[in-house]
Amino acid sequence: MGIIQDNERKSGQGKRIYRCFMGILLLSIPLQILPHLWMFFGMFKDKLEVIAFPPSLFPKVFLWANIGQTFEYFNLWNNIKNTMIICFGTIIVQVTISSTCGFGLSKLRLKYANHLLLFFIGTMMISNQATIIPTFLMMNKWGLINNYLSVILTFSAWGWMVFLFKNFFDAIPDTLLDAARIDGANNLGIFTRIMVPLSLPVFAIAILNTFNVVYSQFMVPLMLLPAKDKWPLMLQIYTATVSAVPWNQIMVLLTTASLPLIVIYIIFQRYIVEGIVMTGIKG
Amino acid sequence: MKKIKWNSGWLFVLPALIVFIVFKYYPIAMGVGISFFKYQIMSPPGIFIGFGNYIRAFKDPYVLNALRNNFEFWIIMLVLNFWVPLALAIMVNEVTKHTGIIRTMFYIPAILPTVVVTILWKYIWQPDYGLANFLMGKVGLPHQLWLNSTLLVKWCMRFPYLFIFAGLSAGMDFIIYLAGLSNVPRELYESAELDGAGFWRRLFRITLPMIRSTISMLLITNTIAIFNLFDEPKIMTGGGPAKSTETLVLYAFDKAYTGGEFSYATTITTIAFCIVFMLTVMQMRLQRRSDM
Repeated sequence: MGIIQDNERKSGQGKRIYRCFMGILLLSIPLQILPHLWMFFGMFKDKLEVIAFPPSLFPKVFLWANIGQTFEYFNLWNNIKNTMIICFGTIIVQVTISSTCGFGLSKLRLKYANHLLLFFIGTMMISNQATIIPTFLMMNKWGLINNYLSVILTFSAWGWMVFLFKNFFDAIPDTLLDAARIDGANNLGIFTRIMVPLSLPVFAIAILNTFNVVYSQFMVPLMLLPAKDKWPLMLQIYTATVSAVPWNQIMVLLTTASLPLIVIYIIFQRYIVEGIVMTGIKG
Repeated sequence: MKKIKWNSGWLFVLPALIVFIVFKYYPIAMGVGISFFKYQIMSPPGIFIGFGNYIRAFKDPYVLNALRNNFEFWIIMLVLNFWVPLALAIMVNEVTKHTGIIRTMFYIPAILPTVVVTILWKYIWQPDYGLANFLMGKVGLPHQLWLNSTLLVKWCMRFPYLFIFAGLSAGMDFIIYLAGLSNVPRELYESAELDGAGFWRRLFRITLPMIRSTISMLLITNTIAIFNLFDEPKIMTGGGPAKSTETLVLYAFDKAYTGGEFSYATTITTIAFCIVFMLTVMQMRLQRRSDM
């Protein structure tokens, strides 16, 4: 609910300000969509039309063939496959270690649990930028350069995830666990049979957020995956822009990269927004 | 007296503990460690040279240039970007009809990848055929070089953040502000109305003080992002023209990637990390004081 009260919206200052805000918002929506529409239609232009001046929004002819050609030229399915391997690998490792860790910290009466939580949250101050070069040297020593594992493991240590799971598990009553213990369940049984089914929404938030963040990563794969056939989508797009690739093909790449995120977003809006509110951090 | 019972709960914490130590704490410690060496990749860590790298860094005109660039980016962020998501969130929060669809329109872009948006804007800023110069022509202004001009390039790079639809962090900040705004209790506005306080008075006396902690939290995350800036300059300009967008992290990356000077590069990232660390501690101090 806004600052302006319902009865004020009818007249006077309240009405003026309300009108003014609505005007700005309605004007800004098309203004904000325009660059992305231009990207979308740029996909179908021919390679001279896309750099014609003055620029046009709609293509004269829709060249659907551009899409197929671009996919073939860049071997794009391979990049998409790489991105998916990295995303799902990270989701599996990160969600597993973070949820079990959150369970341990929250419910298993460990000594120093609060200090340990600080130990995990503290890593949020250590950005990927600060650790990328030592990580590169470390992975180099272990022979993991050009291995998806190097990227997956680097992304898996995300302090916020542990915090998210711990906070959620704290809200589940201990009596449920005690009842299960009396029935003879061990910790692993309690975790898989009680905690996980009770916390499916938090798993959804965790999975969707990890997917979004890892999907968009650029610097870490740039450093750790130098081989062309290991590149995720983002690296392929970057490389295309620094080599002389025509802009219409680049627009195909950009649209291809945005589409899955938009589709996932439209389906799972609630979880994604909730996740953003709770993290306050992207990547 | 029974024996000390080993708590099997540690098994649940152990995997995360190992991953976090190996991939967060160990690299940062190793980074600080090798910044005191002249690193040799064949026989790490190489030759110990004490503070040699740090002395070199503070005499290196490129490091000083990068620091200045980071600082200028920060100023531009404050002028051009920081207030936009807040203003928009306040306006969207006033919407009473079609709330769902309007919010969705403003939410979607928060998830678009930086790489996509940055490249799209690189296309818009193209001097020969870009949308920017077309619009400049329409309103009768001379065409500009945009990304090729040392004067304008930093502004061009931050400009997309004006648009919530550009995604990037602006969309994130918008969502967080909106959540903060909806937590302001209604009763405060109602009693302020009875006292005869107008819109602006309510905004400055109630709304903004109530979400002060959100604002300062986002100010610090945005500042940290600026001192870790890498993706946008790398993708849009590669640090040019004439090194005017080269940031600390980008310079360190080039030193490591093309120069092979790993210890010097980690020295630079360590300096950037120290700046971020000090800012974060400062923010926590300030927040604690304001909470009391």
